Amino acid sequence: MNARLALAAFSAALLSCGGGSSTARLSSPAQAGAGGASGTFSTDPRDKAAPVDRTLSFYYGPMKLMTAEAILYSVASFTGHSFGTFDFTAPDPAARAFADAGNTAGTMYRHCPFFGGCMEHRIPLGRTSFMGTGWVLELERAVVEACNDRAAFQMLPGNRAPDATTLAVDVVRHQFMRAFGAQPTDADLQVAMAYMQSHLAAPELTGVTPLESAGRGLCRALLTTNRFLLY
Amino acid sequence: MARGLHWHRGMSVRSITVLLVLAAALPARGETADELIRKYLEQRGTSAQQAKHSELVRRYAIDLTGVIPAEADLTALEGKTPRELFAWFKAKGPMPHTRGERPYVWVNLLLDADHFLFSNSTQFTQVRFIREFNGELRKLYADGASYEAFARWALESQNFLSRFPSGADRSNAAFFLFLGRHSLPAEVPAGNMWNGWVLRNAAISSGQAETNADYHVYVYQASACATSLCTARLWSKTGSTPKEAIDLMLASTMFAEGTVDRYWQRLVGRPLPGNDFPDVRRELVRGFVQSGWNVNWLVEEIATSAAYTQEMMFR
Repeated sequence: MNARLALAAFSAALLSCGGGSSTARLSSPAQAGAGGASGTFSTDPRDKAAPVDRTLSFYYGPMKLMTAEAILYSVASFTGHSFGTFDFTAPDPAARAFADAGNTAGTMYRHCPFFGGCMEHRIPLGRTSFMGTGWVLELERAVVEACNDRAAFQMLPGNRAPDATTLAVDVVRHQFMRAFGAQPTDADLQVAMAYMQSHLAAPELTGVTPLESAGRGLCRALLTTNRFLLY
Repeated sequence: MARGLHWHRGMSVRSITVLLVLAAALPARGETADELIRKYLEQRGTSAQQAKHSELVRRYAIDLTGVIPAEADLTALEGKTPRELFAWFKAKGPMPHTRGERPYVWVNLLLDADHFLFSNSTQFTQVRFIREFNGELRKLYADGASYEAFARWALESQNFLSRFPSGADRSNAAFFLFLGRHSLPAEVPAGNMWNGWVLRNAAISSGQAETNADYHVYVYQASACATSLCTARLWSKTGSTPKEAIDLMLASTMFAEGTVDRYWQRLVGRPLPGNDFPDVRRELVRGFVQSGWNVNWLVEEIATSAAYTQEMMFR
């Protein structure tokens, strides 16, 4: 239970801190006189009096939600778990060729349509760019499946079960680097280590070392953050 | 940066005509889309702020290969420019998830399938046709084939004719696929121009459409126009054959603009603000046509511009 609470707190902290260097730019348009004579602007369509600063279109780079396929293949790449694959040119969707293409135990197609992906030629469900309840629940299922796959170790340093020489901080650094392409900041490290310590004291998984259990828990947390899903 | 007019294998006389029309409509300044965006930002008293290296590497990796970057990528790409990052990920060889395909090609085919094959407006079901269509799309990314030639092939293909049996359906689908818009009531009569295209063997019943491949073969028969109207006007120009309908569509600036908009949305994640910054779209359209309708040029131009390489609003 402690581990679950720590996971929730850790996820919240990740969502609220992150990289954070762009905040200062929010004031730039007004400083540059974007709002006309008053020097203020509003993006609220109800505020007819204030001009909308459309220059904001070019102020920031993209912020996109990964496609369903990118999420699943990235989770697979991060963990070493295989969801299988899919082929939208498969001749007979009714034969579940999509679910099992390339992997007889594949779950790719079972997860993918919930995220608005893996289109096939009979039942297009449509891409989605928002995370509804069903979307999040399915993501959790996929992430748990991958992070808790006892045969997959890529989320752990050296692609193997941690031994006596492996430190919790190594697991944290390894996972941040792979998930976000960057080392954790001090703030990241602080919340992640707090999570690891609480998890080590009360491991969630049985049959594995406490550190492996904590590493798999951290994996579940990182792969469900905005920082991982948005790019 | 001034750029000369180069002859490409994919350029037709019509391409040159479109290019000349566009060139006449634009002031001669030769700034790239990236330079225009940076200029806009400077006019607002600020400048483009490039995303952190790790953010940029991740963005290119996901957009060009469909997965987060590998550890080896992160190490090898330290200090590289956006254009070098783009080239690195575009050149990646087949990866486990791409079924033997280059990731850059795979990821673009995947997203194209959403638009061309499985959108609400298309919903192709014939596996043979899906593979054929996919094969033609593949040439765009793997070989840099002309997008205009692809559009012409698609609109004339038996696949397209079979999926949209009436002229009105064909014009609706064509507007959606290639002009980036659903048809307006005034444009629907353009479907009349497709009316001369009829099934080669009318004796095959429609019940055999799924099983008899000959059912889907369409041919143009001028005599069919004796019983149905084949003349229509599209943007003040009159035509009376399917070829003229296609020519009018592909000669319209909406064709190139719609394509630019689609790739912009794909990479930047929001619409190109054309009304407020018309020069950016015009420049991309001009360069796209000038490149021989090469979508790889368009993808690179957008993905290395300041609109793409700047930092994300929220991390």
